[in-house]
Amino acid sequence: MTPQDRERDASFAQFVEVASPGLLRTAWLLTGSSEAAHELVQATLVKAYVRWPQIRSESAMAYCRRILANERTDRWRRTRREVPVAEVDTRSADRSDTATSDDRDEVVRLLRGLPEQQRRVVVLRYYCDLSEDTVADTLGISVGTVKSSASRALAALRAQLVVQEGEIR
Amino acid sequence: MSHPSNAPSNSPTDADLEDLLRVGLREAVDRADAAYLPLEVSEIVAEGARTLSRRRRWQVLGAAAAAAVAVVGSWALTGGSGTRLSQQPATVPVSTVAPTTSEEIFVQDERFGVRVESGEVSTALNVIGSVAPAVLQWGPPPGSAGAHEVLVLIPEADHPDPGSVDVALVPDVRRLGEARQIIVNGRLVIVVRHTPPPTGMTPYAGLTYTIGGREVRHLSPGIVHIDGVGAGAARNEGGDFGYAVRLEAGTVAVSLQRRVGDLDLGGGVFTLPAGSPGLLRLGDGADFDMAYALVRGTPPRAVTVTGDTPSRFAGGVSWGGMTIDDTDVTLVLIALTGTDDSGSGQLRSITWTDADGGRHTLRAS
Repeated sequence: MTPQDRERDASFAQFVEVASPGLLRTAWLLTGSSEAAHELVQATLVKAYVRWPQIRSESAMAYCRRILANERTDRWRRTRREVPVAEVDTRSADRSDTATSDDRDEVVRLLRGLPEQQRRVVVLRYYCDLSEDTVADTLGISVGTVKSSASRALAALRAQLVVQEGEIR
Repeated sequence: MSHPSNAPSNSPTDADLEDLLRVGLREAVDRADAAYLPLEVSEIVAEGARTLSRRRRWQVLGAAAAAAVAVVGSWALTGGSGTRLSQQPATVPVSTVAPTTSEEIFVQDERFGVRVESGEVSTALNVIGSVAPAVLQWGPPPGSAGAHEVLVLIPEADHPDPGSVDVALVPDVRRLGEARQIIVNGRLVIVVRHTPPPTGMTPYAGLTYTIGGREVRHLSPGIVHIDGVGAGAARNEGGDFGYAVRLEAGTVAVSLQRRVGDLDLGGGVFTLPAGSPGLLRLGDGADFDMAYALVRGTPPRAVTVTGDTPSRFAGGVSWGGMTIDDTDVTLVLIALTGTDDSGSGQLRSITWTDADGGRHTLRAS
């Protein structure tokens, strides 16, 4: 291993330590499971490692976030013919309470019911607090599409809230 | 966070919902923190090093393959340096997805779905556990005629009292006729035909039935499948509608995966509607270094690309074509150089020359 390689690995390891909690959280919201999030972030960081000499340190997080979104898209496309988009909600009258804290979280359950692009826009816009321009750039879509996706996501959430309210009432 | 059921009763504002999301998502990830598995930097570095090694081997292999096949014509790279390009044999496995015209509901191998005429699975999902319903929603593209249906697979462990099953639909969606009950491979499936749902809304709202007189409720969303076969709108990539879309006769859909060694670079399913001359997509991970096109007519003899800047593809591109059986469609795969992570706008169009010398241009969608 050359000194350049060692320097590269050291700076990359430092970045992983700082960035991985945020990436894992974003990936968890995108995938809905800690295992899938772990796998997704690992794959993202492997890609980042390959390109590490070309990545500027100040843009490394944005670069990884972009890979994360694209990687998620790729994985989704590869598997989505057989992938459920929402977790189980089994509020039967006699069920034992075996649901995880994830299942109990209503916002996350609502998020999981959204179509893929809306979900990605919601996560980047409202969890990562990115501007509409940055979300558009990250996802490779227009600002108009970001706005319409966010609007549809909010409308869908509103509709689900109303439906749930009606059922609970 | 404020509980959704405590939200304003009629219609929460966008600002309310945005606040709910901001707070709720943060609280959710905080609670999930303990579940995250630790990342091993050494493993990531080792895998990255292996990837680099494989990529270097691939580049050498690619150069050898390009040299071994004939140069196709003397065509120039549009906007580039006039590099002569070679046709490479495509190395991705490709499978076609037939048009859907008739369907068969199936429950087997832990999957619930609808099989199309050819025996291919049009849309399916895993059946998870025995206590949750699985819901499949599908219909024609927005604005098109045809039936919309919600199919609900009743949990395996449950044996509802006869006639007690009630599938709830969201407001503004009206049931058409009586729900049908079908036994498929020993499992009870409820089929509800309904009016088209509003844009972006999934029609299924919940499920109730009784078992021995005791009510069981499954509130939305349950396990809801909203995927379709195809690309773009057909595949619901914009999230415009909350159900899977049937393909119409004459549509050609191609699914592909790109693998380099044991590195899976993804791919997708690309759909060419009946009557459409072609489609062009740019994709693959963060680098957007692969373009996929479906073109009709005689197979291309030459392909040129146009980028967003004159020097974008100055390093040249390689392409390969595969004809799709029983169609006049060719799948064209274009390996690009000079791309970066700046987005999908780097490829503006491709121009191909058919067997008769005709030239056709296709813009990226």
